[in-house]
Amino acid sequence: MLVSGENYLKDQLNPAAAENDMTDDKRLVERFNQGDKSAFDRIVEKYSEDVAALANRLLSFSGNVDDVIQDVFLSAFLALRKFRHDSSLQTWLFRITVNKCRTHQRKRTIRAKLLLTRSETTHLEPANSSDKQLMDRETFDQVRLAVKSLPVKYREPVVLRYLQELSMSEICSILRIKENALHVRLSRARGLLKEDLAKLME
Amino acid sequence: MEEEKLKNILQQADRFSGDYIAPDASVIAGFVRSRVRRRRRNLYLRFAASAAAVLIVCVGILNTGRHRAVDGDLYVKGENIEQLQAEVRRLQSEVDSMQIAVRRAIDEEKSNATLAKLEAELASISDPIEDVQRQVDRAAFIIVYQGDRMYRDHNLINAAIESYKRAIEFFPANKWAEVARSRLFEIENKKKMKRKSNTIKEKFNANYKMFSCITVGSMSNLSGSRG
Repeated sequence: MLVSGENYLKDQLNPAAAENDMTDDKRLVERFNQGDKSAFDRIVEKYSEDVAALANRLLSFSGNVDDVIQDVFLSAFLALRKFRHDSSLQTWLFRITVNKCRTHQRKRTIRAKLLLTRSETTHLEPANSSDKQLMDRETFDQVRLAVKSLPVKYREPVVLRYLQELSMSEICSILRIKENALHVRLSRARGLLKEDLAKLME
Repeated sequence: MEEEKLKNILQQADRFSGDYIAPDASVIAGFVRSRVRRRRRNLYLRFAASAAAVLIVCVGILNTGRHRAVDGDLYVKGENIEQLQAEVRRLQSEVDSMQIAVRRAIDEEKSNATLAKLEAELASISDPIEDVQRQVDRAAFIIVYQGDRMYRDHNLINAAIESYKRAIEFFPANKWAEVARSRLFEIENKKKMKRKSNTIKEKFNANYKMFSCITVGSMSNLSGSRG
């Protein structure tokens, strides 16, 4: 699940591999710009898992983020020619994902208000027995609700920092905020989560 | 320390939620391409529609400009008042003649409408001769029908013959008189047949009686000779 986290660790431990990855992405983008259709397929293949995981986390593990993934890659397809390699391709895709999730969230809120019904989100099946032992359904729901109830501007840093395990600079790049602002948001988010998860924290 | 704890809890929850299985990369790529194609097509259509709208507006503006120029020319030419007056007179006479023509056409239209109305009324009035004929037919039919009822339903043959004869007498040329004649012919035939059959019957009876007398006599003679 923590693919990005693994990537992050890999990047930290092996900078050469990260650089290779960057050049690989650059080559893919260049091929796409030259009209090679398979390059886009390769990009989707490489990043769809990460994008899906991030979208799922940002949307509070709703378990139905296919539309968001499609929107993310559609926007990427349309804007890839304008990509200037200021950041890595992954960071760029994550930025799109964050924006799409915000839009999706907004639409969902409006729809829920209109329908005046609270639709229950679909739950995913627990991963494995060892994780099950560590956490039961009730606790998971508690954590999920706590994350869900966070305002978007606090939820995003939490997800990107603690679940995606991205570096501060990457998060700043994705959210387009300064590092101080990120620290403030993370601190406030932690405060809110501590209130909600006080029992679990003991 | 607390941050680590919180991180652990969040990551445990994340692991508990399980892996999110993203759709196949080729499916996503295919979907993206189809949406891009649709977007491009819509874009082309919108562009074509806006281009057409711009073209229409331009043509409209140009036409308005041309009309203005023509008016301006007339104004320049109209400096000659006499010419203008003559033109006005000519136009006036044209208008008058047009008015007369229009009025004539309207009058003609009106008279045509009245004529059509009268013709329709006339057509709706029934022909008196046809009416009388219809009544004659009806009377003849009633007499023949009466005869039929007496003949077929009540077997009053003489009364029926009387009715048929009356129909023939009063309306000899009518089609019902023909019917009455055929009925009389039929009755006559039946009467003749009846008479014939009666004669045959009588003859038969007489022969039968004679034959039975002869047979009885010969039988008694035969029994007497035996005895």
